[in-house]
Amino acid sequence: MVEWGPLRRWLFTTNHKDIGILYLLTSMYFLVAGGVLALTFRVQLSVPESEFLNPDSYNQAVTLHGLIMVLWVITPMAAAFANYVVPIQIGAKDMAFPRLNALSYWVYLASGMMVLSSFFAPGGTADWGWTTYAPLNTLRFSPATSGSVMGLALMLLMASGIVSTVNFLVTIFRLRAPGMKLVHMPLFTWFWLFTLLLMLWAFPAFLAPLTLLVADRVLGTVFFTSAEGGSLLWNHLFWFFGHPEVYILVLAGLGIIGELFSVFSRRPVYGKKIIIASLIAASILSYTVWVHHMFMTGVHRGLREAFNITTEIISIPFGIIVLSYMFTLIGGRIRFKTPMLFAIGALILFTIGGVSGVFNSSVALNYGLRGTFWVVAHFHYVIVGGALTGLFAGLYYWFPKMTGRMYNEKLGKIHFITYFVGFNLLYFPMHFLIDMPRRIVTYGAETGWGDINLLITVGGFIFGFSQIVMFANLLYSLVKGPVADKDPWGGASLEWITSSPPPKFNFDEGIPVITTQGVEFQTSAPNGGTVHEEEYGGEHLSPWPIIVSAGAGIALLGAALSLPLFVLGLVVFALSVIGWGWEDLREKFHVTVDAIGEKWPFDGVENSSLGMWFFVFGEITFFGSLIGGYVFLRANSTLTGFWWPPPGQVHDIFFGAFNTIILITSGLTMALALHSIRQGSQRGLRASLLVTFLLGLLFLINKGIEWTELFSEGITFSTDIASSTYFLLTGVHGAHVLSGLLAMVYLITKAFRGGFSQEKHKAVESFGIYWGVVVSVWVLLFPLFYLL
Amino acid sequence: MREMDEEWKYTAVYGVIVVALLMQVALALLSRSLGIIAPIGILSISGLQATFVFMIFMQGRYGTRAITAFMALSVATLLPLFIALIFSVGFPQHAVPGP
Repeated sequence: MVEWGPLRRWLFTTNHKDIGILYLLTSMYFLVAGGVLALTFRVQLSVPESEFLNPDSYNQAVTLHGLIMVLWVITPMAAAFANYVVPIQIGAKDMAFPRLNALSYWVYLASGMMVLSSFFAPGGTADWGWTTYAPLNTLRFSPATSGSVMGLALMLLMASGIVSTVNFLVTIFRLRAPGMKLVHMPLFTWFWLFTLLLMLWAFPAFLAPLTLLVADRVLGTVFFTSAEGGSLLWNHLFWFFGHPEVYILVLAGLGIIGELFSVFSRRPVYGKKIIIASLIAASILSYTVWVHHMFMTGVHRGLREAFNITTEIISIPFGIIVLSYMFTLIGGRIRFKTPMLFAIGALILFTIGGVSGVFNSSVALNYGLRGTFWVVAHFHYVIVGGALTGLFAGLYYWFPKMTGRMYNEKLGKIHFITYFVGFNLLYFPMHFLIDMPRRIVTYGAETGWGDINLLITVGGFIFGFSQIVMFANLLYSLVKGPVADKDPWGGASLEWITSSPPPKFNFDEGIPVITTQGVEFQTSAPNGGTVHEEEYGGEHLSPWPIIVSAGAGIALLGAALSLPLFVLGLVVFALSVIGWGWEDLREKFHVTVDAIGEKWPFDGVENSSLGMWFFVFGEITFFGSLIGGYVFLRANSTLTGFWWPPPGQVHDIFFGAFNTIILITSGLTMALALHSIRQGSQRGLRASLLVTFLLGLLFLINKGIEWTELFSEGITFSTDIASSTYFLLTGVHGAHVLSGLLAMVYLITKAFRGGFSQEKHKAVESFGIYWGVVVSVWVLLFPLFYLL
Repeated sequence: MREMDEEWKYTAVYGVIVVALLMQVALALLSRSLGIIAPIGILSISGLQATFVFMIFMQGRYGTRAITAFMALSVATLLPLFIALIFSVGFPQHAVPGP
């Protein structure tokens, strides 16, 4: 008989520390899966003319290894520490939206399970490489359904990341303890903040090409199969996300390194403000370098030169960060404990990877290096050497805090030595395989690559073995390790002033207040709230995040595999969303994580509105990338000779204008709804919401009529690039309108139950922001399809 | 009185956006004779409409300056992408596949 209690806690928890542990365990699981895949193809490459793997299995193993490691291991592992540590480091009791935090985790898990399950689908999993290049990603070259599953899983993962990003940004900006100015935040939180800002714009930007890809594969649109779109469109949209993604992977590890250098050398971080300025510069520049992945695509020489320069420039802020870290150590009394060893190792490996990256930025050198094992060495030094090694440093550093037990130092050091030796045996020799293409399943003995490849594979197994030492150490220490003090390292950040592990709401003594003398505790909040547990309404568990995620996962799996599964998932999803809303209406989940401390620069915007604003900022890069795709396709059609239908030819201008007026009017009535409740008018609120709902519904019905007419005329998703673009963009916008209508059902129900008042109407305000985006995007889309 | 002002303001902005929409339709209908002015005018009006919706209907101006700054940053993030996309097709040095 399974005891329900602990299981219930882990399935329904919304506590940030529990969710951090869930992220950590899951990312470790994916680390093992990705690592085993890597070992299989390293065995294949260890000797010439090997037949250990057939070409299909090899391609699938390489693809899945890359995607899992980049997207399901490193960022989620960073998110694990961020979940556990960041709220404590800023003096908050929890994340701003605990249920959304749980939702992010379960959606992440669902997306990962989709990916792993695709391995067992007929035809195996996706085999197009982690970059998912077009036209390899199209049905013609990758006909297996698992390709569509992969696309949908990636979309789900991005959705999880976006929700998590919004939640963290509101938490960091609005939930800092009194006196915790931005500049006082520890380095890890600073680096995580910039990771979030990159994710805020990069993840939605990736969602755009994924939407096009899935539409191509599931609906039959022709974005990547037509001459107008094809590989160049994918390249631009993918790498516009892909290069900021490198910094998304790296920054958390770099933040940990800085923090550990300070703690283990007993010195403050050298030039903290300069480091922050470098982070700002690197973050801005990260959106201006992606074309260096495309020097071989034949983009204009001017573009190549410009991106050569920006790529070289971006090494400067990272160089400054590395130098600041090194200066931190000077004069310090360094303690070479395991976390510090990993931190030093990470900085060395990251620097090697960074230096080889500068070579790649040169257009001339890039022509020779592109597609060789040199590039594999470069990015593994950056991503595994810098990011993952930094995260392992964090794992040892926070293990005592998370478990209340110390790890075994001797085993930790053995782990580090085998890790460092294995890593360098694995990746450094790859620099010498400058003439070996990276995407080949085998090679002939006459190439002379055999010995180096054998050495690399031996290094790979040593590297893999080192992780076994770590797992053994951590598992043993979890049970038998000595009890950890609340501050075993002499750390300066707030997680070290609370017990190990911390209490449910982080600080039993009260709210931490940062003063010039240090940290004090206040036992009552300035707004009259308290810090006691009852404020959270019991254990703050909710079943809905896991059920919503299961519904979404099943529905998306069904979208690629079978209709009944899709319908089942949709039903589960719809019912669980209703359940979530009902839980809200009945105030069953009453968690108040109020902003009681530092809130600059968002003092005037309350939590849920700020969350919605951040979501909107992400939506801009999502729709912006889609519209960018439209511009590319339209302009490219003049080169390919495709005749784009002129205004009035396919879509009725006046019908489109009429529908636009309907939606703009709904924008007015929504603004009036908010205005009414601000004046305390319940009648005005209800009437305005009802009219907004009806106008939104009318807009959708008109769209439905328009689509039906087009279908009856034989114009479908796959007719040509113009029809594909129209259906996709208006369809995505329509999905936003539909989501808005569903949310409005909740708002109207709550309004008729008297759930809003002049003082309490956060949901109306947040929804008003969302509806504004729906209207704004349409006024931008309307001319593209009806007037130009 | 202030309540009335607010309502009138929303309605006036709504009126401006709808009139702008009608101007866009007129520009589209006259696009043959107006040449390049028509698409430039239509797109500029769309940009202004979206800005009005952000500032007034979405309460952008009631938020802190940081909201406007983030909005500007979000739009600016897209600028390099648009430049690169247009440059790629405007000045192609890649082989264009045949029909």
